[in-house]
Amino acid sequence: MAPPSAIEVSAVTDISGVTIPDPLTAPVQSNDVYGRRRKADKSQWGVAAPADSVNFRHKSYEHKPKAKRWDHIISHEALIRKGNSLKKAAKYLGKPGIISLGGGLPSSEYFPFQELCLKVPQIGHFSEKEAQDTGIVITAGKHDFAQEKSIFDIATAFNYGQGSGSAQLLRWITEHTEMVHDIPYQDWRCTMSIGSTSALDMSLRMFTRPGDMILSEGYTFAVAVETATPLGVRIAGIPMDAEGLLPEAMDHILSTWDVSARGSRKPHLLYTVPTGQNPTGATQSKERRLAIYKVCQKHNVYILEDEPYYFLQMQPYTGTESEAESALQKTSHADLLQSLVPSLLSMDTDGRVMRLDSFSKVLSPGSRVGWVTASQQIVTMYQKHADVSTQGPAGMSQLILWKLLDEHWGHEGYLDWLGYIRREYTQRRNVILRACEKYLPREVVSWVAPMAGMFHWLRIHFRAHPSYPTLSIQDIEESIFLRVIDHGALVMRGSWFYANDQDEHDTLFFRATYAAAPAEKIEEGIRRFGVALREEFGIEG
Amino acid sequence: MQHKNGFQSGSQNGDLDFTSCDAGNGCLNKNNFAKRWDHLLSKEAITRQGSIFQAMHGTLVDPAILSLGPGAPSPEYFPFDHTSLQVPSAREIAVLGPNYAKVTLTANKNDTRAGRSDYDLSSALQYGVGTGARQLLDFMTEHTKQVHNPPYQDWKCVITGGNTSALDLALRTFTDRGSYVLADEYTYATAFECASPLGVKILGIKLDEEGPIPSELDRVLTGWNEDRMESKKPHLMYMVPTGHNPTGATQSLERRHEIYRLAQKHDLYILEDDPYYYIQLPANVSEHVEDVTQSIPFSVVPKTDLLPSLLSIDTDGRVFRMDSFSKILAPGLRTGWVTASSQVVERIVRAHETSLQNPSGFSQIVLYKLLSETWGQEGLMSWFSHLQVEYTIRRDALLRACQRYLPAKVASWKVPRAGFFMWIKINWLLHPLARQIGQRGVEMQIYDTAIKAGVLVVPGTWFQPDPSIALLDVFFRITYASLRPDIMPEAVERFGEALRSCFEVLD
Ligand SMILES: Cc1ncc(COP(=O)(O)O)c(C=O)c1O
Ligand SMILES: Cc1ncc(COP(=O)(O)O)c(C=O)c1O
Repeated sequence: MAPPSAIEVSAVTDISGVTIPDPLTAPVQSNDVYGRRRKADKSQWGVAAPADSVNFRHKSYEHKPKAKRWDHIISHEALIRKGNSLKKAAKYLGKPGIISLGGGLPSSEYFPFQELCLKVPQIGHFSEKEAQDTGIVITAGKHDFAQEKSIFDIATAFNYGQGSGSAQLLRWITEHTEMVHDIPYQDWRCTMSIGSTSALDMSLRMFTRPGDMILSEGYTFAVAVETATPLGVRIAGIPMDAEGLLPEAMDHILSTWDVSARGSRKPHLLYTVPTGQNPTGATQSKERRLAIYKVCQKHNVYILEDEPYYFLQMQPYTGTESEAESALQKTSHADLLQSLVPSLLSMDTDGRVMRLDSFSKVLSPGSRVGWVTASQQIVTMYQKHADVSTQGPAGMSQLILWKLLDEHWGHEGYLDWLGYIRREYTQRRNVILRACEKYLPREVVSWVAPMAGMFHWLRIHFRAHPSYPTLSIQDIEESIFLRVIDHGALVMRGSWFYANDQDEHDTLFFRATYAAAPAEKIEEGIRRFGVALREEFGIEG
Repeated sequence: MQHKNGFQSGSQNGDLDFTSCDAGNGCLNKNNFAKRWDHLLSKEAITRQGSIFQAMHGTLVDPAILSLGPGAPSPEYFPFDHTSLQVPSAREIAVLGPNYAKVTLTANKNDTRAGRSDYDLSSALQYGVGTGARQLLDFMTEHTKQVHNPPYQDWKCVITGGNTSALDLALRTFTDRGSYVLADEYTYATAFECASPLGVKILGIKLDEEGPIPSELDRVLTGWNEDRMESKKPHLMYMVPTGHNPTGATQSLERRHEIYRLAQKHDLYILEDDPYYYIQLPANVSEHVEDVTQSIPFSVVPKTDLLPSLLSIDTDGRVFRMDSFSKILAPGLRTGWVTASSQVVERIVRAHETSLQNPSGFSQIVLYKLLSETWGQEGLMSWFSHLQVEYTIRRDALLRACQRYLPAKVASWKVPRAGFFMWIKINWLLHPLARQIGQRGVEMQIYDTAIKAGVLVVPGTWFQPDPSIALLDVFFRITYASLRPDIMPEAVERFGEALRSCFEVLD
């Protein structure tokens, strides 16, 4: 039998455990934030202390108001959900000398994983090629913690953890959140999700009951609709312009809500993607966000702010190459943060926003890690739910992200990475816009340059179609779609993103993405799209 | 099934066109199909639509089409060039303990393009499909066929986010608010903690040392009175047939057949939660540690024959089997797999698409590299044998400590044949205040006294789905899973002291 490691995960229940990393002895990379990390508070890592993001905040929030309570809109399901009963014993685990025959966690001795290596780019040398040539290899050993090499290791990360995610990565996430958003209320918390899709599922279960309608942009993320439908929840779409959903329209919908006509009580939840919205690419300006927040206050609406594209905000598109190039200059960290449109979270004096962040679009979707930020009441419920369903993100993903983000890059390196990604996407966006200018028949298609995200939203002037109005909008859409495919390109039909397909629609759009394909393919794809449109509308090439 | 491109992902691992593929399990020779379960599905499961994007599948796999469609990030922007992990080499697991020779498995970003592997980081880290990665799914399907060989044609596997998550999805698929689910009178606490917020009530079936008592099950169902119970007759049963948590009980083959026959009689659908299946242990307890600690090369380890699972006797396709990597590889992978009829698996795939999507790509690629590229099916079975030996050592150490330190008059137990847990029955009537304080009072006193004595044991009532039901007995659960064997005597001695002082027993 192997000599056991000095530090094992202590079982809290059969499926959750904690270790006690000591931040004092652990080597962390020093940068500004680390310097300010609270050092004295060892108890935050204590046995059975669930990872609580409050311990990782640096600023003082005492002078700020507390979040409102949301009991009146919390679902029955969420209200009656209890924590794990075995956690009752957790408080005794801290008792010196106690031996536990309680929680049945497997011993790390039986994890057939010894040493994890990871080759990642060095700060400032982020391209795939550079990562390969000059990237550095970072290593996580099985018992690094016991051996005082690191505060996070395989023995810990590969065992059961907490629904909130590990304290180690949660600390980094909380610091990052605090750095990016100036949250105007006192009792905000972060907890990890396994991505925003799952966070959406869990938050809908927390805030809605079957028969409810919620609000969202009139064209919305299709998975949101697919998630809501089986829960018996329908969506009322709000009209939009180039800056996203229209606050006046939202106010109007709510002020004139007719319960019997709608077949549902008045909505108390808004699902919105403020930045680089999927599918429209629209980004709400600061003023727009403030106005939306006001309407939500007026009607006491709670907000799900889904922001996977927040860091893919770009410089304005000018069209000329030289200006576009100058926009690609590196910016300082302060300028980068300054250039971001403030989040709804940062305007949230009431604690009525649950913000969903995700590493999917900025690191990789396969890691299946994200986080939510909201008031303590909401985050506590979220954690309880995670404890009895997802159990938080995979420990392996957490360990890898923590190694990269905390031990290797640090917050500053991560901001550099975000700056890099942003420049890359700006270039990609410019490619598609130039291609559109070059190849698309302006008389039947128009667009607004996206300011963020991955999507370009093309409006088709369907009234110019030779078969309109004999053919309906959807028929014309289908006809164009198939013709584009015949010409060897694929674009997404706008109707796939209807928030509510029962609503009347008098617009026709296609969505094109510039996220993945190489520049020449984007160009060629748009060219083919243009050829198909000309054919369809009978326009001379 | 030969499609190389998953639609939503633009990745290499997908076959989103899930419903149209054949059984995919290579069992086309069986001629009976699973029954349909439409009448048991929840409203939520019935309403769950396939993603509209699936319509695109055929188009995307056409190499001539330039896609400006799905908006997944380019793998170019995944800041991971490669990842590697040291694992025991299959042949060398023979050398027990962590001294096993190690091999390093490495996943590079573009192994597939370079022809080095079927699965690489650029696809593992991309959006995937609700079935889990095809590569890993193939391995687990083959494994399931070898171990369980379900006796009907159209069974399938799906990679899940572990059994807790799978259970959550299964309950959402098979229950509506107000329905009853049958379970054991003591059961895995998370199961009812997950169920009750869904508005599902749990009814516990009486247990003996082999699990739920068939005659009890039959009695409850036969005598079900919808008016009195204010609910329809239950159609779902949750159980942990092997190394039950908390009682440690393992259902014999006969018991499994009896329960399955009753399920057929009453049209019950079975959730088989079986994370301890591979940790089946010998019946005999060794007298001396040395008997089992000697490194025995793997080839000669006396293999504990695995009992047939419920899945393996499931001619109707009425079993939803949940397997987990948590107890056999590592919980932090948050990965497991479910086997059920293709109708039911398809509902779970849909549910994945709007919740967890698929398990962590890091976990999936490591599992694929370890299982498929390094160990193979036999290597995995060898690893299970290794675990069986190790857990036998632990179990036996705890049993010896119990024999030695627990007052025999007060405490009794059965030798667990699988899993992590021992279930200690307390002869509570011997307690001097038994009549006054009752079962619960005795339980509480023992729990508190044990903590004062410096040992944590878990009271049986914590595993009761319905705590309002009066108990006949007092139990405590103890585990040998993670405690070092050299500390076990001390732990049990403290528990023994606590019992002695509660019962005023002097030996
Ligand atoms: C608006 C929006 N929310 C959420 C997601 C999915 O995020 P995650 O990968 O974190 O589940 C997407 C991805 O396409 C999206 O566009
Ligand atoms: C009976 C039972 N089911 C499920 C689980 C949890 O499994 P997973 O880690 O796959 O979620 C446990 C863990 O203790 C268990 O005992």
